[in-house]
Amino acid sequence: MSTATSDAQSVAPVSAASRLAALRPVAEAVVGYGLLLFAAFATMAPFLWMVSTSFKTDPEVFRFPPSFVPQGLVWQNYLDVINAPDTGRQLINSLIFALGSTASNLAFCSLAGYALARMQFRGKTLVFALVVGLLMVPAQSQIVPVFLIVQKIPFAGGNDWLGNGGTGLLNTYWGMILPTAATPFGIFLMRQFFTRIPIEYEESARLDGARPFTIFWRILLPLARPAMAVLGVLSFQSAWNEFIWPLILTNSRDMATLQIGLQLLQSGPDARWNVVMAMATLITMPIIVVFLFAQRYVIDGAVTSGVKG
Amino acid sequence: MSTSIKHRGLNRRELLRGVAGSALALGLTGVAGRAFAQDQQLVFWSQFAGSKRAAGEALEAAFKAAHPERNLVSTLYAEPPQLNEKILTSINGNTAPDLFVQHWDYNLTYAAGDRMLDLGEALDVDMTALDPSLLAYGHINGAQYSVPMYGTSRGIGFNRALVTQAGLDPDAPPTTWAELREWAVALTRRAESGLLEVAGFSMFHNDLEAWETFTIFLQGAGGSLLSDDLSTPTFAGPEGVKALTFLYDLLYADKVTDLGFGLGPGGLASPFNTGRAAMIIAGNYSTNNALRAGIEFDVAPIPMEGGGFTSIVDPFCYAVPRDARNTEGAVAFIEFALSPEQQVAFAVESKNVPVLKSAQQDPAVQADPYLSKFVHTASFAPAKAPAIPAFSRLVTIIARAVQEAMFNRTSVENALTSAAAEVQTILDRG
Amino acid sequence: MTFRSGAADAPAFNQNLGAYLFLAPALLILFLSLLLPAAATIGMSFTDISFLRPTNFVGLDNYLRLLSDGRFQQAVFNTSYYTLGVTLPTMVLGLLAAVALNRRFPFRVAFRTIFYLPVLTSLIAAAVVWVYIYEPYSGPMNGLLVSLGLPPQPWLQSPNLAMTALIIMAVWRDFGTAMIIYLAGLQDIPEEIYEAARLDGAGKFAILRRITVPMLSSVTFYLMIILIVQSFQVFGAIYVMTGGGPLGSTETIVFQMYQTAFGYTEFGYAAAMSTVLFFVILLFSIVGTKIMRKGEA
Repeated sequence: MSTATSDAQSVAPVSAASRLAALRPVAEAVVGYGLLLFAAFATMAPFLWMVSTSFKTDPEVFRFPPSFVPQGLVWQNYLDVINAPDTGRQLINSLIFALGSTASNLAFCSLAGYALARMQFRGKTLVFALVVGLLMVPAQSQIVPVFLIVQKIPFAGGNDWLGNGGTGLLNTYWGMILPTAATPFGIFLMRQFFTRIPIEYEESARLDGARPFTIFWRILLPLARPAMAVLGVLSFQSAWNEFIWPLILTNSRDMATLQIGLQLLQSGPDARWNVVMAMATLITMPIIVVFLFAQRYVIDGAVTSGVKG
Repeated sequence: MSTSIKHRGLNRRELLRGVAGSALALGLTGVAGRAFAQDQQLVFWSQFAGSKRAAGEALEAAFKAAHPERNLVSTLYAEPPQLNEKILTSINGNTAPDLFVQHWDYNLTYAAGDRMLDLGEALDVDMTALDPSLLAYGHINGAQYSVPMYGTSRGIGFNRALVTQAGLDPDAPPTTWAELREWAVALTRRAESGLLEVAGFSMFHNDLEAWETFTIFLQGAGGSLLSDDLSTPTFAGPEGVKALTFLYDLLYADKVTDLGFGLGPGGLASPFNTGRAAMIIAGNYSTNNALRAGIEFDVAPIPMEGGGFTSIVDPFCYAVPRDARNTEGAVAFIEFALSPEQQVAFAVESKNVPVLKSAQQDPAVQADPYLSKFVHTASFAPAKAPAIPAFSRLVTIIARAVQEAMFNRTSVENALTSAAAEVQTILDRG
Repeated sequence: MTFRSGAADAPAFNQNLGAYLFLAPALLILFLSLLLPAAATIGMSFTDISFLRPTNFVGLDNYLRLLSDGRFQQAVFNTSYYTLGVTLPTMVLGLLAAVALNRRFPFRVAFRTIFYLPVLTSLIAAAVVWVYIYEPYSGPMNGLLVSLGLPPQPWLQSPNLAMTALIIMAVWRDFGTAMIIYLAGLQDIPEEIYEAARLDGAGKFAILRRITVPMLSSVTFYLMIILIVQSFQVFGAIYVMTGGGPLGSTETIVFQMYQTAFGYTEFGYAAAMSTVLFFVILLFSIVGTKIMRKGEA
């Protein structure tokens, strides 16, 4: 694979004199593109199958070997998904959950990551070790404890100050967002990226007497835009695909998300897989939009604002 | 740097939104909370999803029309394990529903923890009108803690086109093991290289199916999983050895399939639906996708070794938590759902075997060509059920033993004997 | 003098306070959503809690039981093997993809998106295609082997190969994530460093090895930890493909934990598994970090 990289790297302006030297980059470009295209197809095949199946008729779904080009375009599968009575409500819930979770991750993880990367305070090593340690806590064992904690948040949902008597944050967006509102992944990511930014940027500001939050807000955060974009994509995606917390922490149809809707559709051994794939394809679209939007900031928001490559 | 300043607004907006959101979350939670269950509601957690969804919705609508005063509020869950997560958490948080319908083995676990109402006492239903082999799955510690709504049943599913091509008569399916074996051998197609093209009999693709296939042949040899009082494993006896040896010989001597043939998610790679397997152990749930795939699907009862038939039924059952707020409403719903009209309507719409015996023989149910056949195969299921709370562990242990023998890791006898010892430990532990 | 020293202490105090304020919201959430549940899990691991029946304190019984639980040990082995197999290739492929796509050339956004698609593909759809790729009879993977003159393999059907097959699929699924994280990291490397190296006549591989990789070490460290953690907690992707089979060869710790807790309602025993899993992950992370440090030195 290392050849693929060096070939791809050579896709660069040519300024050579001899004919041989002029031809070599062209050949390298051809090979480079060829390898990229091959990798792209290999990478894309399952996605293509998902989209293609969403347009298939019932018999075609079970064809072996699987076909990547549907015989016709059966839009009915999509209409079945879109016209289902709960889909609209599920979309709204998913958006609120995913955007809420993304926003709080961007805010809290960048603040915490900055503090861990750049500020001096007592217990810093301990806090960082704690964050990395919590990263390693298996999520599946947390289901019952988190449920009970969310239910026992004091003063919420009819609870008294000890957290008894009511339902706490169950059945609320706050409750759903809480377990994903700040993740060790996010804090760790931001901390790693903040440590990479040259110290000179903030030192001059500090000499000018800027307050820590001003330094963070006006200088460091704009410089960390690639990392923020990555954090945004990953947070949105994980919340958008999250299934367990919306399931466990809500009890009503009104709070169901698209992932729960998808599960209902693919339930049992006789699911209609073309309709399931239509819904799966639709669910993927918002993440692709978020990715396309964010990848610009991943690339074009650098410390060195110069042209790359 | 100029570009970064230009785009700063975005980050700030998002940050502000997050900070505002969190402030609200931490400060105003009391306002956001919502009361969970009002006194007059009947909270029902249903598992009527997928192909059962329309039938479940019709049932609920009919109940609402007949009993508007009950104020039915239902939530739908996709799979038994998901509903199980919900029930285990909610029982601890005192937010459990008044009624739920769940795969039978989970209900036994809840009942073993003494969390369920004895429906045998609470219901005003003639239990003798219900199919005893389905009902047996809700009976534990001398009480009827859960009552079936419907069951699935098993038969030999076969592809009529492939059967005809092999020169066999699709209208005279096997009636003994020997005939089943002849069919399997005749239906198997391999390329010259030995590569399998069509499996004569596709045995299992996962643990559950491995357990199921073994159990069916165990019953076919006259055996059972557990003793009558459910206190001892009996599957390692001569019947079990005979059953597993039969499967082993189908695989190695007759080569009617390969291990793991047609493995894949959600039945999407199912060799039967892709026309690459001629016979399978089928359930009524196999019908929809086999027909969608364009297979000439047919069902026959599963033969026993020397004649006669056997089957397995697998019910989904109602249960009511002991401290439910609205037991009266829950009981009313179950009684309504067990009425002849609702039993027939649900069975016809969802293609499942109704628990009410009269509904099984109803003309509307019998008019369905496939459902009627699965009702017929259900009649061969034993009246005894392995109704123990540790059932899911039993499945795992037996499935592992079956595969160890099939993968030649140990002998048939050893695999079954050590599995039986393991099951005994679990049964003794209680 | 006293006044001055007081003034010198004041910024330190302020700095402490400021840092704590920056950390407070995130730590509060982590406390509620992870630390408290983790503490509860450790507590539960010394009991026989089922959430259905009365709970008893059982001391170290659950841990002693794990020592003689062959299935659990197999799962630890399976999951460790999976983690070792996934982590390094994912990072390498992610880095190569990032370096290749960090330049201006036509359709680079399209390529970036495509390499990110595996993470977004429905798990079931991915599983269908991969099961076909590994199909012993007509699948492309065996087609490739045969064309290379090698014997075809029963990939997912073989207890010896199934996990390896799943590792390949996992690398396919994850390298896009590694790619965008590396892409973000590449933005912080000043172009002047590359220029200088090129003027010195360094080749592309030398630049990659001597500049790019070392400059990305903090990102690599992050990725390594994340991949170790995620691989050890793998669950869904494997169960869609093999259901833990054949013969338990792809059964993972988290699956057993889930089954023990929710299937068998042995939450105490599952909590013990969870605690052991935590320390196994910690061990791998520490060893991984040591190896990385050595590689840099």
